[in-house]
Amino acid sequence: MMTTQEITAQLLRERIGLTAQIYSIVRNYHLAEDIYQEICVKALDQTGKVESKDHLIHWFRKVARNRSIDVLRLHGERNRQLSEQTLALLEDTWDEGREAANASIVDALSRCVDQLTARSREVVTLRYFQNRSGEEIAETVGIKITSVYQTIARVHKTLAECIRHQPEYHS
Amino acid sequence: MMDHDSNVRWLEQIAAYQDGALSDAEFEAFEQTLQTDAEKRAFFIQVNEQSVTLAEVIRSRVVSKAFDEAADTSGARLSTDEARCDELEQGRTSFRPALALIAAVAAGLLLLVSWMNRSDQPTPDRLLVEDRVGTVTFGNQAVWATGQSESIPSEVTTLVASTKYELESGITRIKLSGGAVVSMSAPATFSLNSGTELDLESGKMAARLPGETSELTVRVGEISVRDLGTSFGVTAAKAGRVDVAVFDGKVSVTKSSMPSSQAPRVFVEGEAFSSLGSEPVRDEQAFDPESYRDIWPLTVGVNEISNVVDFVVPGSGKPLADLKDDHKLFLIPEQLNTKFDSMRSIKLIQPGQTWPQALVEKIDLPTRQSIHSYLLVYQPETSRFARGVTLSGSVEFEKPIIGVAATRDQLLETDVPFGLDAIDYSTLRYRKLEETTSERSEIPADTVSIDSERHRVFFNLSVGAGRDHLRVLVQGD
Repeated sequence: MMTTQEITAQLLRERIGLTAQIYSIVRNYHLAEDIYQEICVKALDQTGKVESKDHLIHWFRKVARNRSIDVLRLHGERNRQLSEQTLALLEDTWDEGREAANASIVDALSRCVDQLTARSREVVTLRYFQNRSGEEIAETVGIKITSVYQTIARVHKTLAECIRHQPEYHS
Repeated sequence: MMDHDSNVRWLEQIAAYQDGALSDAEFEAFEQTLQTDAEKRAFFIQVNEQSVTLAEVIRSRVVSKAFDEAADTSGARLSTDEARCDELEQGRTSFRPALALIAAVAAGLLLLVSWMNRSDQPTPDRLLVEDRVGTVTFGNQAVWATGQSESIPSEVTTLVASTKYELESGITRIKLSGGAVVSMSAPATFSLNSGTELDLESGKMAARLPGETSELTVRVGEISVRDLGTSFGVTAAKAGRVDVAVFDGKVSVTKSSMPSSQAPRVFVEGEAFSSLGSEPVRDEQAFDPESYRDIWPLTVGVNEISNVVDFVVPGSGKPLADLKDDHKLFLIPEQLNTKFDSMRSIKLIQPGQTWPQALVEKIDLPTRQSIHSYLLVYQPETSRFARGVTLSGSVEFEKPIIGVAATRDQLLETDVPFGLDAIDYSTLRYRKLEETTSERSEIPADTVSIDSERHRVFFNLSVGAGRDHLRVLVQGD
């Protein structure tokens, strides 16, 4: 059985991947982070019941999925949500590449962000940090909404390629 | 392997999904792709991980910048420190985010600790505020801005008279000094004239008067709604339209443009009305208690429910027999103000216990104190129901749980004092939870536990073709 310290360490180690799973449902970074922290507290109550890291992460993902849906419902969210079937399939895929996202990638990505243009940095700051909608960003930056999505797509492509050339990726 | 153009198109679709901007047809195609194309699914995961990482990197830079500005204004750097900073400058881009990330994680852990030590009770200092007319007793993602000349977001725990409050996001519950319990969802703007008078500028609220001595008048635009019974909901749109639905009891309505000689109009349970500006109150409005589904549980003392549980809004008009779902439970608020004059002992699952493992003993119910009752119901929609389905979840209550009735005898003993008059519980058969493996050994036993802090009940029900009932008794107002 995992101890409280082991549970805490494992959840912090996999923080990015777990928060990203929640983000993929709620689509709001700050909300995803709140839910991640809330489930971490619940996970500590599981001390003595969790057999392994896999067991812990499997439990976390299930609880995260349900809690994210709950929170969206409480917020009266009207956007369509992915079905339970799709979310379960994504969880399986997430588990397959679990070690991919870790803290060292944050450092790598930080260097890659410097390669982006000023406008791209502004767009992703508004989108992911300030949680502004595509429409609001289009208005703020003075571009069309399709250009906002094109910019975000280009940013992700650039960052993915850049990260592949960073030492952390190979280690 | 995806070519360049397909890759870019897919990334654009993910960006639109994250923004909630896909049309119904686009969303269906997007989900279909996620289910069938493993490569695109992997990209979807990668983009979401990068999105979160980006947000963290940006936050770390904001934190670093704030540190820099604070250090610059202090002007207290020693020359040796400057030299050291210069040495570190080369590694700045990777070193600083890492430091800031640690700060962010530390802040997160602090939040965890503070969350664990949270208290729903106001502190003594806050209770000393003389003008206090309301206390926030629950908030979920609640962000406030006080209505001063410049909106300053702040944590609101105590509400004072004649101050405008703006709930920018989330939901909250407020206990007014006049006794009423009010829940609201953002965006909402309101002020309290006193502990019994609330001015709603815009937003959606639900109110309940827990006792005979409680009172509340809600003023919205030209109309005043006075609660004469127990509960109602109000929605005020910024365009000036006001919708009111009476869940229970009755309300009286006056309009400032009405002649003083005209008697107030009275609306009773199950009725709804609307008003726009100086137009007369229109009562052809459809009664729609479902629109208050997100905030109504708060008003009756339920803080949070798992997504496997649907809350039954009072006045929804659905008889118990219609509350059927193969994959959901229903939570029905029953009597919310039961009081016993003399001592009464009932066998109940107690806080800190897990049933059926724990020994269930009789407990003394409090005398002359209000007790709330909630019935958690599972009724399958289909009789040819698949075996092996387990429904797990929890319900968190505002006040401490007294105990839970789960067996046939426990349910029977609590039906009369706590059940609803509209339900004939004596006709309901086979509604207990299963203590042992049942239905030809295909369905394992159910389990119920109450946390030792007494606010949350957890259930793990192995559901089959029969119904399951669970009654939770909670300390009242």
